[in-house]
Amino acid sequence: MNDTSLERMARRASTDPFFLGFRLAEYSRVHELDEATLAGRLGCEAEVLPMIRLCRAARTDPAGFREDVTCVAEKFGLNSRALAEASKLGVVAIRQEHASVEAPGVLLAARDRKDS
Amino acid sequence: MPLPSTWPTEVESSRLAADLLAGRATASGEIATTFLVPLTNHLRRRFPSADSAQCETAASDALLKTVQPPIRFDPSQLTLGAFLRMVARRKMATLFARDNRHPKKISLEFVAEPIDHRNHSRDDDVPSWDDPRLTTEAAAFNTTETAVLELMRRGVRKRAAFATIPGLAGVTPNELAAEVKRYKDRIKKRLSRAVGGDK
Repeated sequence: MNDTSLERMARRASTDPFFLGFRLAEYSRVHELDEATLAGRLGCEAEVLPMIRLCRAARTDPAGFREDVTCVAEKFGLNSRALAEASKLGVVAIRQEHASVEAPGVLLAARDRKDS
Repeated sequence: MPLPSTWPTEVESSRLAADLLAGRATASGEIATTFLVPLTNHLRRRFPSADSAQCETAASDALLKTVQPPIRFDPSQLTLGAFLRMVARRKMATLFARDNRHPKKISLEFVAEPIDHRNHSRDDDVPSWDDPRLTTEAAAFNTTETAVLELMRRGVRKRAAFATIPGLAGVTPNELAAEVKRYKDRIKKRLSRAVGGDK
């Protein structure tokens, strides 16, 4: 049960933006990657992915982002450039989501155009 | 890749706690992989009537909650393992409460008096006192009710034993018999309701 229970937990974590799994899921979805391909890009075995997914997502400020990506990459022996790429995409996606939710002016403008 | 099935050493646990509090990016992953199995096993032992999936869900919930801000874990109060066990047990209580919204009939033979003291044995499939619904309800009992319940669980039937309970002492034998019966009936009713029966 060990591996599967960790995988189940990692899948749950991947629905939460707090965890790195959220960004990796977004990256995989956009690039249509399966588990093995994602693991290959990051430079690890697929069985390590659940542990990576359960790590905290990299902070969004440049220094924090670099530090967190390096920390995770060193811990699991990952390609830090690939990990940064996967994490960056998530940052953009989250910012876009927040922008659409937090900027009422944008929504109002869209409605105005639709109504006219 | 096998996960550790035993609790980490004190040194390892302290390191993980320090990493978590320092905001290290890998702390949540390390804590999850280190504690998931021992925490799940702890819940299985603590709640033998619960199924494995419930224990795993509660352990996962506890871990995912503990590693996220706001960090409520305080190493000066508890070790990380003890804190996780506490959170996980609460999660189990929440899961039980959720299940309780769809109550099922559970036998209350475990609080009924034995018909015959001789050859009396406990039925193995009766609900466990690990069931948090029972322990929560029992925790709300007053002193007299708690003492009466304790005697009931031990199968004590002699009135003299009940006469020593505060709240039942100093009454006539007839009054004592009536009072004991009233307490027993009330206790059975409350415990029955707590596990979803006797609506």
